[in-house]
Amino acid sequence: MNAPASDLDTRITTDLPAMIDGPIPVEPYVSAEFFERERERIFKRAWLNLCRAEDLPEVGDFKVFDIAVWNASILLVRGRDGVIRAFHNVCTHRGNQVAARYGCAGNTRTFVCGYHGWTFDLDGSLRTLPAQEQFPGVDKDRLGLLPVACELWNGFVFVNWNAQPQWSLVEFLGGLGRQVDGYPFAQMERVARYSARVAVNWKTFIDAFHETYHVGMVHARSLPGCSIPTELRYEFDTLASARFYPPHHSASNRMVSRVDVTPVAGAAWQMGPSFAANEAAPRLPGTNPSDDARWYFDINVFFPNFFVDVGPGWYFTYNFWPISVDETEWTMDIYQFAAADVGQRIAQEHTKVLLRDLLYEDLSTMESTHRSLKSGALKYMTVAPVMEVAVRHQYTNVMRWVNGEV
Amino acid sequence: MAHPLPVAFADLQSLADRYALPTERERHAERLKGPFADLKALYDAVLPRLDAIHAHLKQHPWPALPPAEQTLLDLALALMEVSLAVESHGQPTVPHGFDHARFKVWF
Repeated sequence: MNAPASDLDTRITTDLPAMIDGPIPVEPYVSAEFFERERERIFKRAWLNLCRAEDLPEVGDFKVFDIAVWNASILLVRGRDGVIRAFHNVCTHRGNQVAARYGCAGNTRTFVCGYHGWTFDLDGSLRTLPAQEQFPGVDKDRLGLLPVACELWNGFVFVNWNAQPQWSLVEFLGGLGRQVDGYPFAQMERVARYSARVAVNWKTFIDAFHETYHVGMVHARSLPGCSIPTELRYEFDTLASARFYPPHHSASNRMVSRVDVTPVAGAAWQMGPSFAANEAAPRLPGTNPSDDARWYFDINVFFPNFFVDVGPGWYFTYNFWPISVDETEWTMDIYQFAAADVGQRIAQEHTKVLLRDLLYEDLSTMESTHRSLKSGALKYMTVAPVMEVAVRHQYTNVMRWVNGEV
Repeated sequence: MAHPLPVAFADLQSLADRYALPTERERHAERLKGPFADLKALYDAVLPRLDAIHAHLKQHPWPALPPAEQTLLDLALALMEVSLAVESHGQPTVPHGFDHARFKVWF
């Protein structure tokens, strides 16, 4: 069922926003000074995903997140009213980390600061101030933990550095949030997590995941047949469609018609939903927004550092956390429907293993690329207008935010 | 030593003892150790039996499998684990891949 070449063009089904044209300068990808501006102008203004609500299922469940790009430690906790709140992990007395004695995750009824015993409730209020008579005139009610804005979207927990953010989370997620609404996130469970700390700028890292031009080279072994240049063009590499909701964007991968299915991939395919491309897979709400005939999966990129890639029975997320201009902590989570039978369980394992090995490949070029860019030899990057449009869109939004245009 | 496999699959016991591990993290670590010939031996022995394994496992209530069947499932999952190494990479690790010592598999 090879399609004619004309079907391989990428359809852009939203307005195409204005983008900075010309070659992309390398400087913002390697400059420590630019990174400081990103820290203030992007990461301290945008909504950032930390985890899922299911990660804190019970009252008193908490997690501590050391957010290097904020130079801050953030405490996420589910209160007695069931609400998940975020606070600075800072005692309001003299600044010790209030959860320091509790580990990075757990369940508690209160947080007792290990320095002088100030005790905070799950909603952040200061419950006990030891020797309160020694603090004349101090109003305990005004010394609760310092809140960080925290909102949920489809079970994803987002935080914002500003106590009064510029936008609500829903406003910030905008059209991309609405596109993905309805996907059955809550019905799926996390089946895998992978992570690595990589010596690469966060933008260079992200750029490896929202274009498919690299597939033919980087994944030539793991996606056999998907990746062989056809006599016409790189079939897999052409995105079926793309959508822009500045500063976010979304693209749909086209299923390849000439997959050379390996024996185990074929067997897994017969037993249940797998990452192996499958035209018979169910279409779920929140997917295939441009109604592409040979839809495979969607790459949904939430500015600045969060991906939610949705497929037919599985989805996965990437979080890219800048540590410095030269280093990024990356985490991937894979979610699937709970296996309804043993065959589906076997198929799910194939999905995990295939995705994981693809990630070893995706990460393989990052550190050498960053070293090259740091050398200063290359001043500008040349980017394909359609296949790599996401790279340009991300760059454009970074520049607009850093330059105060947003 | 893994739990004994169901009788019909007793000939795979030595492979199960090494590869029928309960988590992806352990199965992946065992695969990375190689050598490739051992992964290929697992692949060659289990792939032809995969349909029979699936048919056998389907006869039991899911997901609370008896111990012998759980070991058999873990062996099938180990086949998935080594499949990319055998079918695509031709070696235990991902060729030109990111350093596996710095790649954390959580579960």
